Amino acid sequence: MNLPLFRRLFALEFKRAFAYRAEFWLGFLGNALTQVAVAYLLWSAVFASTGAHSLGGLTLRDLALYYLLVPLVERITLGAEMSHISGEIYDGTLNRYLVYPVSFFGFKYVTSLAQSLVYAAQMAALAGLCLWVFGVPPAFRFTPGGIALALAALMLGTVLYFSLAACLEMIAFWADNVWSLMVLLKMVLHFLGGGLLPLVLFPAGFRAVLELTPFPYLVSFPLRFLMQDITAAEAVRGFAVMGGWILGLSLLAGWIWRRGARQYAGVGI
Amino acid sequence: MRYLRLYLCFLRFSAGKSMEFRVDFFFRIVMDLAYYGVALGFFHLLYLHTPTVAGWDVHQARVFVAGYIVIDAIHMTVFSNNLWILPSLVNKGDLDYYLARPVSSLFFLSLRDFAFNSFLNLIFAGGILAWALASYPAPLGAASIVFFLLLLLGGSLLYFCVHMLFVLPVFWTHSGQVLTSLFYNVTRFMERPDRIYRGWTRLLFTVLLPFGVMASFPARLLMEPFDPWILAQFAAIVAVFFLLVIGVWRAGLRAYSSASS
Repeated sequence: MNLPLFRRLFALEFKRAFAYRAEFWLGFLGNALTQVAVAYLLWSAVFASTGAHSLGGLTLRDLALYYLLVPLVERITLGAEMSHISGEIYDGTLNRYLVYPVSFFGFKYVTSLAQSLVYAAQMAALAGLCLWVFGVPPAFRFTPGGIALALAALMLGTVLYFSLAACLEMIAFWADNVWSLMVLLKMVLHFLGGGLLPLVLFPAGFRAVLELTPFPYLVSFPLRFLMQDITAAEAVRGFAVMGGWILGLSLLAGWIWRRGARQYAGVGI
Repeated sequence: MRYLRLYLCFLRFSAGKSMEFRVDFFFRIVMDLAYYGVALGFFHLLYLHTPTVAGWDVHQARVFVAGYIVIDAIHMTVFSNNLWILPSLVNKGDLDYYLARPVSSLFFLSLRDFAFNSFLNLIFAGGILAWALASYPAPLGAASIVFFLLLLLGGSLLYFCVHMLFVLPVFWTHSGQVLTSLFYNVTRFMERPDRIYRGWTRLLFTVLLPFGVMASFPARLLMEPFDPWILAQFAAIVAVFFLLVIGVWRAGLRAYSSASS
């Protein structure tokens, strides 16, 4: 591990994230605010038609905060869009990483992590502002322990998504273009992770199956610690499942990298 | 007739181009199918918790969802690739090649790339719409369904116009990324029934940014008692936005400074 080099790389990526400030903030606010607005308007209509006070134990205010936090959590776990590994394979710019004195995956993960930390600061700022203006809704309880566990889940989530996305991006060693595959991953992740609909509203049997997949751990799992909606046993099992997926996907990514690098021509288009 | 022949040429070239990236061709089909699955799955799960949303039951919601899936598929097939590349053509000055041709530049640049992989998805989307209409419990009538399909074409045209209005500021800003990304975020408002928009949000999403009109109004005209005001508003909005695109396009060309932009 070349720690000083990784520290410098991290600082560089951190600065780069702020290079285009208008795009950075507009992109972030556009995604977060439209998601909250459309969810709030829809759920207002649902509550109005059912006459219920809560659904799945969530009130309208709970759902509003949930839908505000979802895009923020996704930005953190998804990090820096995998830094376009497939594009670098396709156009041959992957060559430079092969001569760098650091691990390729280490380099890419640090790049992604720097972006995630910027997004985490955004999340704290926006969520803090909303809580200050609207107060804490009933389902949420912000305790130091809950926040620490949510941060731990987010941190592991960045590694999990990185491993998952790396496996798919490296299909570009054999396929010509994997852009649509990455969009597909994000779409499935958003739905099955609980981004479109809280998982508590999914049928129990389906939810039990989902908990064996990586998806809930990238979106709703960190939020459950802020909602105190998780038992100690569920938390331990969740972290264990995450660990298992990270280990499995990391081994798979290493295997794909070795196979892919053997047939990589480095010519580009 | 000349434009029809030209469009057939576009189709021929696009067919050859689409097979250039065969794996991506397949991935794109899977991606769009996942989008349809997520849309249907979301409403299915939602209706496990409520009998109606914005006055529609699950059967009506399926017809609405199938309608916006068809609009999206038409857009992805006919327009999306062209609008995606437009900011780059403007910024690099490559628009010059198209302005010199003896045909409408707006026609040429909006339609030259036909996405054959998305065309397969348009067939799937049509199948979903057929299923939603066939499983609808009340009789709908052939004429009503044909009228609904025509309205969906109008909704597609409106979707293209709004997308274009998010892209065209590139003539002045020289950066299309933020508005393009914003457009894909606000399209979420098309994917919900228009009756959830009340007060100022109704004005916003049925007039100024008419996402609430594109699929909801055709569905209302099909499944609810005929309301001439809804039809008139739909037709007026499509016409106004189409004229607006032509006006902004001409203004953009006047501001375009060719290769040096």
